[in-house]
Amino acid sequence: MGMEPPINNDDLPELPDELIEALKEESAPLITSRVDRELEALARRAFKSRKAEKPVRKHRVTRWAAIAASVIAAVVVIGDMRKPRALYADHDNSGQIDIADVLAVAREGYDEAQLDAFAMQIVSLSEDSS
Amino acid sequence: MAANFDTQSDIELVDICNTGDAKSAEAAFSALYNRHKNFVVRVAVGIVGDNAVALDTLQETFTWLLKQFPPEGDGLTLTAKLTTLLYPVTKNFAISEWRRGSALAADADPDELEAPGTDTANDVQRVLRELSFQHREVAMLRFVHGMSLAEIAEALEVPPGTVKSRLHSAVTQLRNSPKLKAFFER
Repeated sequence: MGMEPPINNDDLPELPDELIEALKEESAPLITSRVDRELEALARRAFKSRKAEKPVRKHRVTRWAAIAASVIAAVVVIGDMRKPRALYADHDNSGQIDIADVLAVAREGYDEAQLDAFAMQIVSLSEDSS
Repeated sequence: MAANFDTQSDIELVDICNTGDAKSAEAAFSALYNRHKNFVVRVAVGIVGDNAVALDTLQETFTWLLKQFPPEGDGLTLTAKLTTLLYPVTKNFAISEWRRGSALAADADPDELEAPGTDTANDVQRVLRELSFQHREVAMLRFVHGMSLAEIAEALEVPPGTVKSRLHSAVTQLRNSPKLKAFFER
């Protein structure tokens, strides 16, 4: 099957420009604004049932809510990481909680009262177990 | 910010009419109407030569176009300028309107239409009226409306070769007219 020859406007017959201008001179009726208004009203009625575009504001609110949630989550996670570990714990991984753990945490910024309480708890536990 | 519908192509505007929200579709349709209303009226006048019929045809043509879009219609697929689609619709409405107000039979050939024209027609337009309907319409589409060969072929739903042949014949008749001799000698 042969291919369609390309459509070429170059070999179309032409008319002198003045003749074309004379052809265009044929008067056309004036389209009044009443005709325009009637068609615009018709279009308005025809498209009326279409759903209105969702307001952009709604998308913005959703986006801001997502950003706020991310920030809150980050603050919670970072805050949790910064929180001092529980004082009463096996800090030196010796397998038991003893006075060595008190000494291990003594350099971690706990105040003296907390350390004393920790030490007293260990001593009292030791006495109970003996 | 509202889109500038005047700078968008026919294909883009038709797409908005198909799927846009109420406000956008209305604005896109309005842009299409303002862009092509003169084309429709001039085509109708060129076919029937009656201003009142041309204005009725304008309304019928754009009402038809409106009905192609949802919710009433299934939507429109446009691959070229809207004028290629509007031309046959305008022509059919214009001829129907003309038949309604004349003694022409419903199945009358368009060539039976008396060539249109107003009292103010110049010599060129009078010679144009002497052409057959088929020759007159290709000459009008090419020289008055500036359509390409492909666009005319699509609008008339005939092969480009047929358009070319009709155009050559129309131009030959214009060239051979003694009334237009002066134009070709300049």
